[in-house]
Amino acid sequence: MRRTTKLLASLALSSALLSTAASAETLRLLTWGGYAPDEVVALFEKETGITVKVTTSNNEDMISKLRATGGAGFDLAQPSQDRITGAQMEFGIYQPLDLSKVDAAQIIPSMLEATRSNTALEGKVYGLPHVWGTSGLVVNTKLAGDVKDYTDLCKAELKGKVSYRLKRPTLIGFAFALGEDPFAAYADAEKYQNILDKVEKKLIECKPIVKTYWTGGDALINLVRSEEVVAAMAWDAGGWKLNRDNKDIKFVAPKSGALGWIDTFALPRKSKATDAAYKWINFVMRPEIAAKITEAAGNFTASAGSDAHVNEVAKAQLQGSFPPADLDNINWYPAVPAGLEELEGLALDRIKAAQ
Amino acid sequence: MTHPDDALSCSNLTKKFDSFTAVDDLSFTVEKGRFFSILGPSGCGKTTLLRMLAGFEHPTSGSITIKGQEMSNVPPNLRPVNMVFQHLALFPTMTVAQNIAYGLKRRGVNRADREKKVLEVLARVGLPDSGEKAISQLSGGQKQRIAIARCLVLEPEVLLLDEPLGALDLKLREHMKVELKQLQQEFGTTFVYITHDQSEALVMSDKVAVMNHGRFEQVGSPQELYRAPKTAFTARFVGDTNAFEGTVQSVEGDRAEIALANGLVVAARTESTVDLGKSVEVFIRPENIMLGEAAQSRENTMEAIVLQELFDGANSKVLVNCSGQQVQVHHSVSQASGLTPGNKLSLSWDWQHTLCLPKDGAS
Amino acid sequence: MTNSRWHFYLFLSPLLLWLGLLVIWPHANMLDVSLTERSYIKGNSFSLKHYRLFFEQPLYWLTYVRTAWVAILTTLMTLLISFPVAYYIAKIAKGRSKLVLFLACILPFWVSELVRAYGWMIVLRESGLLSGLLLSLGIISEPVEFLYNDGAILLGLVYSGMLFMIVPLVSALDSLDNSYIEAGFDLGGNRWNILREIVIPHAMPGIVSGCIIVFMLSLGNYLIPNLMGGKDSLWFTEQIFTQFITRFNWEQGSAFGILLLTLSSLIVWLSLKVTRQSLSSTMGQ
Ligand SMILES: Nc1ncnc2c1ncn2[C@@H]1O[C@H](COP(=O)(O)OP(=O)(O)OP(=O)(O)O)[C@@H](O)[C@H]1O
Ligand SMILES: [Mg+2]
Repeated sequence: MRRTTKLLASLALSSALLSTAASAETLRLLTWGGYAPDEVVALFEKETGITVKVTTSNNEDMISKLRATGGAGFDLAQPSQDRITGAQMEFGIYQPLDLSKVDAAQIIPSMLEATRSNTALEGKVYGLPHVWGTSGLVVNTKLAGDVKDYTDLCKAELKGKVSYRLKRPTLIGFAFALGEDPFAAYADAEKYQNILDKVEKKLIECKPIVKTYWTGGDALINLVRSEEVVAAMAWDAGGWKLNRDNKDIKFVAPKSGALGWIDTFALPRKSKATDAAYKWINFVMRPEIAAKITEAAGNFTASAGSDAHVNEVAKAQLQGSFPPADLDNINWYPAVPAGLEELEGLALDRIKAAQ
Repeated sequence: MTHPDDALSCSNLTKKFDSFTAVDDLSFTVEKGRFFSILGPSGCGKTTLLRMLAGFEHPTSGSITIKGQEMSNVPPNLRPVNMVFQHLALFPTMTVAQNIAYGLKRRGVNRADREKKVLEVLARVGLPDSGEKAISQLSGGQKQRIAIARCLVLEPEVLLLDEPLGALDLKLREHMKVELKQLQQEFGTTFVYITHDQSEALVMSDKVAVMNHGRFEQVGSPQELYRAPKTAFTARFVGDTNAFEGTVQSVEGDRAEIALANGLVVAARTESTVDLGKSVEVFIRPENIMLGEAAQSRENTMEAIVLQELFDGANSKVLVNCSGQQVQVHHSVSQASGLTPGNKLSLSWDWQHTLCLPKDGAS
Repeated sequence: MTNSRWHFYLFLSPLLLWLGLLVIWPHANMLDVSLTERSYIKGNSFSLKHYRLFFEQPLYWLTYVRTAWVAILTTLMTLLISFPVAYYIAKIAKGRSKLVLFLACILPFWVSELVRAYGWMIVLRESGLLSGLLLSLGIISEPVEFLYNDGAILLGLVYSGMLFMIVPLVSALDSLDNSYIEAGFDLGGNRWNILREIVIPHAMPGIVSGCIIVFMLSLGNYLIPNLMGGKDSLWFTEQIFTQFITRFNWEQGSAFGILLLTLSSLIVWLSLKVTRQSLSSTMGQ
């Protein structure tokens, strides 16, 4: 019997050790690749003494992870602004932000305003802007110079040379290109379904033209770089990356408007280190730190004045892709109402199944 | 050279593995219906020879004729021979009846005939009711009989057996020896049987070939081999014997006198020509040596000291020391007194029972 | 309670824990989730809705059938390709070359499946090696896309299944003593019926266990159909992934998961019946 007691005692001891290890000053960050570069993490750790543990992820995965634990396991997450309220209403995985702990002066006011209204629920705010970007068209201007809008990807002469994802941004982009305003129809399920039907028809019609529906960013970049694909729907940062190697490949804001997204900071409901989380937010929004993140991630941040610290090439690429008029033309994703994704899902399934 | 009564004949058969010669220029014939054994130590090339007969190895040179037909271009599945493998190779995924029917099926024998023949051969090997049994349900001896039945049902010209009794325990081996011989006589099939056990060869065979280093040392009936071995190797290998080394002192007809290494001189019979001064070996079988007083009358005598009694019923022997050399002597149970270790004894034997042969490799 | 009983349960506990926590509990949980209808207003309730949807939507059950069919086809092709390779390794190659060949089969599996899939993509893509080779040989006049079709999926799946087929086959064939094959010849058999009546029955446990593993792996493969399949490629695992990860519809995803589990169990059970093997004899290989 003595041996059993000893065993139990050692078990108890080791579990105690484990829990103290977790409660030391660490910040468990759930974010995107490039948003917490090693250099920035090192600077932060040196300044505050807080250890940062980075887990890279994407929107769907973040929601799944937090949903599985009811909002535990991470202290700070970075979902896109349009994916916060829906997930919050359905799964309750976040907690409201205390804006008094944030240095608002470091943030571009228009973006702060945009996320404040987009991530609010019952008068409480759940998201702060961090990195923003757009999706639009990546075009090999030498081989497909006349692709100006999403629907141009269906041109017969481009058969077997275009690619896009079979995901919701494609549905939204095509809706705009077909002259609809899907965002305005978000609140009206029936109207939204009509738009979806129209888009579905168009995408099924387009199916013989598309080479493949790309799934990973690397796969797409390979396809475009090898010129197997001459026009694609993609992220701006991907287009800029390709542009650095081949000047003919450009990121083009479509005529009907690029789709703008903002990745935010949000606090998981069971965050164990909220103070450290606010410290991280204030730290990475400093212009010179934000510029480092822009270089790592390829996208610009909501940090006021960080442009001044970014290299010339990136700056020129931004201005080339977005002349002032196009910047104003960006369609920012509003929050997605619950239940809407199911309709989109069925439409996407039907497109995939169509022969 | 080939005779219509010969089931099998080989001429100048040689097999080389790279530079190593496993079978060296063999020529021999086996008459129809005979039990022919090949007896030799491990590694002497027995299996290689048998595999050439079965068609699994190609001779480097020489030819094999079975029932008058040259075999060099006949694949194993078309040769009129069958083989019982060392570990029998009964197919474990089939029943006993399926195993036996396998070869018949390959010959296109129809189902009804097949079943009839299977039952027949099972009855002949004494296992009439075991057709539906799985191989794993058989005892060692039963497996043996099924393996033989599987071949015999095909009525082969020659049955090749590669040490089929090797895996059995001693008691069963003794029993199977007799049984195999009976089966062979009953079926009248020519058997070519390989073994390294001289007693198997002597008990079962009509003819035995003693093989060494890929060659036949001597071919003959078991009695011939036992009584009149032609080489030192055969003398040593067939039956128990005591061997002494010595040099030839004088030769007179078939009688020679040999000075042994321990200083004694013995008289021996010699058939091959041995020259004066040559080193030779002298062999005396344990049963030819007399013990004690009665011994004095014989030609060859020796003083010895008892080392140990080797009791084995009717086959009991005594181990003695003759001037530094160990000698085995048969003794009848009645003679058993006075065999306590350390006792002095005198040994004696006739010169006719003493064999003088040139040393191996010397001729 | 006696001391030995105590020890018995103590030794058994890892196994029971493993079974309970990693096998039974998640599946029971999944079954439970799949039978739940989630609603913000009414709360959760029991429902067969997710199973009904599967049968009502042709997309879902068509994908289900197609996935099973391709997995079976993959298994058969893998067997057909692996058997001669395994036979060569086990029975014909000797000494060093045997080892080298076996290693050559295993080596690609030291890198991740993703890397292997990309490897094939480099070969098969329009600007890839195969197309380039055929172009330079003058067999085709302009680049051809070999990727993004069902053939590419099949190729990818067969390739990733090979190892799991070859290893049990080699071990099964290795254990077949050469004397059985020789006995077959000796009794008048030819190559073909020796293969059919001696080699294959002997290797059956290996064949079945290889087939079960390859079938399961193909059925559950997500990466290869996704990366190498084209715009029409439908794969059931992908549907499950979509339901769980992009749609957050765990209930539907669980229902699909249970259906896939049922399908694979059914097919394995059927194939064991047909080949008259028992699960214990095959898995003992
Ligand atoms: N395939 C082969 N390659 C090279 N050498 C071989 C081969 N087969 C046999 N040998 C050699 O030929 C010699 C004779 O072998 P074989 O198997 O015929 O002996 P054996 O008389 O049957 O011996 P045992 O009584 O031990 O079975 C041996 O030295 C063996 O090493
Ligand atoms: Mg042998």
